[in-house]
Amino acid sequence: MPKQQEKNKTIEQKNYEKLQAKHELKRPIAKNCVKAFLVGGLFCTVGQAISYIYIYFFNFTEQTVGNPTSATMVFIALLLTGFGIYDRIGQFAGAGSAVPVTGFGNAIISAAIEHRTEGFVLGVGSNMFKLAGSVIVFGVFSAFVVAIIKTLFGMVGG
Amino acid sequence: MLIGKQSWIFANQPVITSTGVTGGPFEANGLLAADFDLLHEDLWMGQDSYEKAHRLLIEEAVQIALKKGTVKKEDVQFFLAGDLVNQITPTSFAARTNAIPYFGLFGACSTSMEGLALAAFIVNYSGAYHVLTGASSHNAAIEKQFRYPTEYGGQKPPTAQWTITGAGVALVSQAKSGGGPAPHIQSATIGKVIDMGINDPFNMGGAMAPAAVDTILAHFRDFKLTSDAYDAIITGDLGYVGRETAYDLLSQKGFDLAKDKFRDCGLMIYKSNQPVLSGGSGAGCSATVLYGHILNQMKIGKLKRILFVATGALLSPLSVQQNESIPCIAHAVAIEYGTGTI
Amino acid sequence: MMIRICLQLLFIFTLFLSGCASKDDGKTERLALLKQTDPKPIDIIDTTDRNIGDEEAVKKEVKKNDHIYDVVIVKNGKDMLVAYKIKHLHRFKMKQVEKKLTKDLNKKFEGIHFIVSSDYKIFLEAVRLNKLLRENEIPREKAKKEFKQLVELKEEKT
Repeated sequence: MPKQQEKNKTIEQKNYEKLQAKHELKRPIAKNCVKAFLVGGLFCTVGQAISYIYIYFFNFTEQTVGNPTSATMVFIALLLTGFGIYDRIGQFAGAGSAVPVTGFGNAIISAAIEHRTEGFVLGVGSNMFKLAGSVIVFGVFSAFVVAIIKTLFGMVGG
Repeated sequence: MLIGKQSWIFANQPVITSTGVTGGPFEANGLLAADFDLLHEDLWMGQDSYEKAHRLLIEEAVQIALKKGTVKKEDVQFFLAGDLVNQITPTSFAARTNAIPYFGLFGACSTSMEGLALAAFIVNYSGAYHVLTGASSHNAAIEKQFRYPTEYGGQKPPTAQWTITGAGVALVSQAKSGGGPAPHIQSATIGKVIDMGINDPFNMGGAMAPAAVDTILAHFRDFKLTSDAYDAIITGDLGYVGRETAYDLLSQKGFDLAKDKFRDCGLMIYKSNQPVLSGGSGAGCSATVLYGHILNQMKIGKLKRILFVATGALLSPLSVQQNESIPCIAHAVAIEYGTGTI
Repeated sequence: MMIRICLQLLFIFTLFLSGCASKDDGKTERLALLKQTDPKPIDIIDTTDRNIGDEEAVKKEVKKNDHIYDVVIVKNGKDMLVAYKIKHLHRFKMKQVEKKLTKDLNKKFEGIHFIVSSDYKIFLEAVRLNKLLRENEIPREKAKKEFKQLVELKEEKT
């Protein structure tokens, strides 16, 4: 689709694109990567600390601690989003705050807050997964595909 | 009267009698806070939705403009305004409140000049004695319309712009002979839609720059003016990227202009330490800056003749998702401060 | 504003953490995750160290493994719980180590049912049980029950 669009562009448009590209501020990729690494690492350290807390004080093993830990991290993301801090962290850290489970939480919670004024059913309920919905859909779908592949190979391999 | 291909000259020189400018908390921390008539401390503004707050901004701006102009709302014939929310409801609801016969306009961020040009036209030909015109935007309501939720932690690229919270309304009236000095609307140029194939919704400045350039060139061509005819050419919300690009494009087309005479509202309104990336944007940006800051500058004599060019990106979230490029438009209005020539 | 939010968050966290400090019967083994403990093996049936030849042999065998640096053993009749810690950078091989160890132990020591685990939680609890038994602070029946619970905990997946 974009390729075809590229072809349809007139010479004038192409020339303008070149001119515009000269002034377009580029994303500082290297800097963003470092920031994402550091902030993402910080998030994961907090997550690790929380999972150790669960192992120490509750009856969770390393196997079973994953669920309560991610639930807690999402809860923290909820607080940060509600207090209006998470979007600032996001602007600073980019993928560092978007990739961990907190980013998923933020996507749901921010949409829920945003549409609160439209009521609970038509607002919060139907818009909550506006951003995160596709994550769930494609997550489930790819899990399904992987499971099928595994089953087929399992059959062949015995 | 039609001049050239797409311009009007207003022989009777309608006057901007008074203006009302309201803003939000982010603008209160900005550079031009002193030029706002009313600044809210909170984005909610005591309302229970951002859309209602948006409406409140317009209502208050209208009230202030009427009060400053000492004109009763019954004496105002028409209200020409618009905003960026779907079906421009905040403006229409505000029009319900003030009960002035109403034209709803949509020209994205160019609405302010679309309204001013039409208002001047109506007043010039005695279609009305007083016309209210304006444009507005509310950061949270517009971001909700066009982008991700406001609290979503996605990283915006450095070309992105910050939608301002504010409404600017002007009362355009017939010029009275013997009145004191006031901003007179001289002429206007209506732009055509230009699409240069940019399809990044986070780079609106870059998309709108060619439209601004096209309208500016058309204006100078229609009136056969030289580039030093104005003290400043002020664009609406091109932002850093758009202003640089537009300036380059103008020089490329042989239009010679000193760079400090080519200014942009999106770059004027905020301090450099505010996280607005490439600058301010939104329908309210050009309206608040022109009706607040620029007219004040004209009053103290810093500027005499200006050409104000408001640019708009005519996109919708749907068209962006369907991979359409962003068509843009720009309208120019020339304003001169003085006693008028009649 | 920011400071107030931070303080609120801190307050919530302290509440959250202080609520968890109830299960506190043993202080030294709290540090078992951080430092090497290497306690003597113990048998719940007979805590007098008279017949721990087998256990010592098992321990020696486990310690021969290069990836492992800390072992605790608790025996209950024919069941022997072997919990160990893997050197941090070797944790990628955790699964293989566990498989191989189980196989080796089963081959060498017939007649004993091994429960092998590298889980921190299991290790922690095993150290605690070991210590309590050694100091005779836990009745035999209760120790047996806890042993059973530990084995069940190890089997839990989510």
